[in-house]
Amino acid sequence: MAFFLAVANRKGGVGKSTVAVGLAHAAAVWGGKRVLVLDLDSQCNASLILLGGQGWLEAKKANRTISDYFFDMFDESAGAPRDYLVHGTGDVRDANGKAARISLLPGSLLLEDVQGELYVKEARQAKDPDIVASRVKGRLLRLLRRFEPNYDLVILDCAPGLSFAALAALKTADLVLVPFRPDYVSQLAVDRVALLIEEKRNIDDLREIDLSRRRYTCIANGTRENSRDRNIIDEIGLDHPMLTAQLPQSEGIANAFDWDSAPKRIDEKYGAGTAAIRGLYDELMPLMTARMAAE
Amino acid sequence: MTQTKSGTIEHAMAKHTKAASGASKIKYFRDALRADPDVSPEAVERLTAKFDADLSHVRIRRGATPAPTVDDVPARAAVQQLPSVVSAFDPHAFSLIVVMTKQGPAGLEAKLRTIDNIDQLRALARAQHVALDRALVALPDVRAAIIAGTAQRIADRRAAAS
Repeated sequence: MAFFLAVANRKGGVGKSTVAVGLAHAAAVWGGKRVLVLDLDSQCNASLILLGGQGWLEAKKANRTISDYFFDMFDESAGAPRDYLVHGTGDVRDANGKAARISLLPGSLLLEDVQGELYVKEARQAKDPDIVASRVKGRLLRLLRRFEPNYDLVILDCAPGLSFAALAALKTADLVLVPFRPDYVSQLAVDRVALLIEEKRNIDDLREIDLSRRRYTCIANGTRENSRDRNIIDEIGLDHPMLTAQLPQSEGIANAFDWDSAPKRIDEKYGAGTAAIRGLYDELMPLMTARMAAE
Repeated sequence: MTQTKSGTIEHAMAKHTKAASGASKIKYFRDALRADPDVSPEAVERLTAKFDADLSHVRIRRGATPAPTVDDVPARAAVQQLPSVVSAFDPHAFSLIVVMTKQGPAGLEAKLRTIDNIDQLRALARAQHVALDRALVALPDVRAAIIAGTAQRIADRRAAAS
């Protein structure tokens, strides 16, 4: 049974794809897990990190993208989800020198358009917009879950917008990881995504849920060792669960965005940022295991 | 005279730039930062110390403003006093929001009472995005305004997330 981890924030530029792919590398290499990344962001950043531009283009030409998958399989016909995946992605090798076991359902620039088409298609069956939206979301959720049997960890890299796919991902995730930058705008963004995840209307309602029982946790990304950043993290931590691990501003992590055709060790990939990725993974894994056991 | 490529570059650099290290370097950083109205006096000193610690020397373009001159260079003794000035106050030493949330207005007031310099209180408010009326001059008034401003920030955030 796979654990579904969504990486989400309604603000862009907070490092969602970097965190999603970093965790995929960590779980595959250090944890020996079978990892699947579902790229739900039409910016396709996770796909570019894992495949490189050329690899992503080839996947697109072969109709192996998330929008192809949603469009073709929407009617829940007897297709094979695995046909849409690209295996052995990423430019990191495991301890034995083999390519890390990371599969990818590549992102698509057309994801929003396809969701619109699916909405129109569903609207032919029902008139109430809320019912139509709910059905589309529900079908996408079931499609996301179809990968469950073959993986230990499914990472859903969500778009910042409120697409049906993003909402389905937040709904189906066993845990949502919310990366944020330590700045004042991010506070509001974390508040809003938290309300969405917990389906609450305001902060007061949200506070009724104990921090330990929330469906999400936050990770500060791009931190600097100064009192200003520490204060903002503490302020966000007043209302939201927060990992102790942080991802500092690091050239190693920033450069990990570059895909290399020659696979390398994970510490070569992340350089000085390796310890931070390890810290995140070491803190998150027990949390995921505990959630899995509880369910 | 034989000139290497790097020698030519060094010659050109020397012609158009002037080396600054030690006191002249510090003077240059401080004056450049002071020239920016958005940089607070505390930030000027903090950044000057940071640059001084990280950069052994710099080459300043001739004609750059502010240009350090020999006459402008402060005495070595004055420069050596810098660390005590810089470390005097950190406007992020504690979070107004966190103290207010955990300890309430009374707790925040007690914390603010540990600061008896009005410029430092202003710097604290400014750094933590708390609006402050510049007309206030009495310490108790400034502290009260910071407490009210902090409560307003908490209320704003709550409203924004509704």
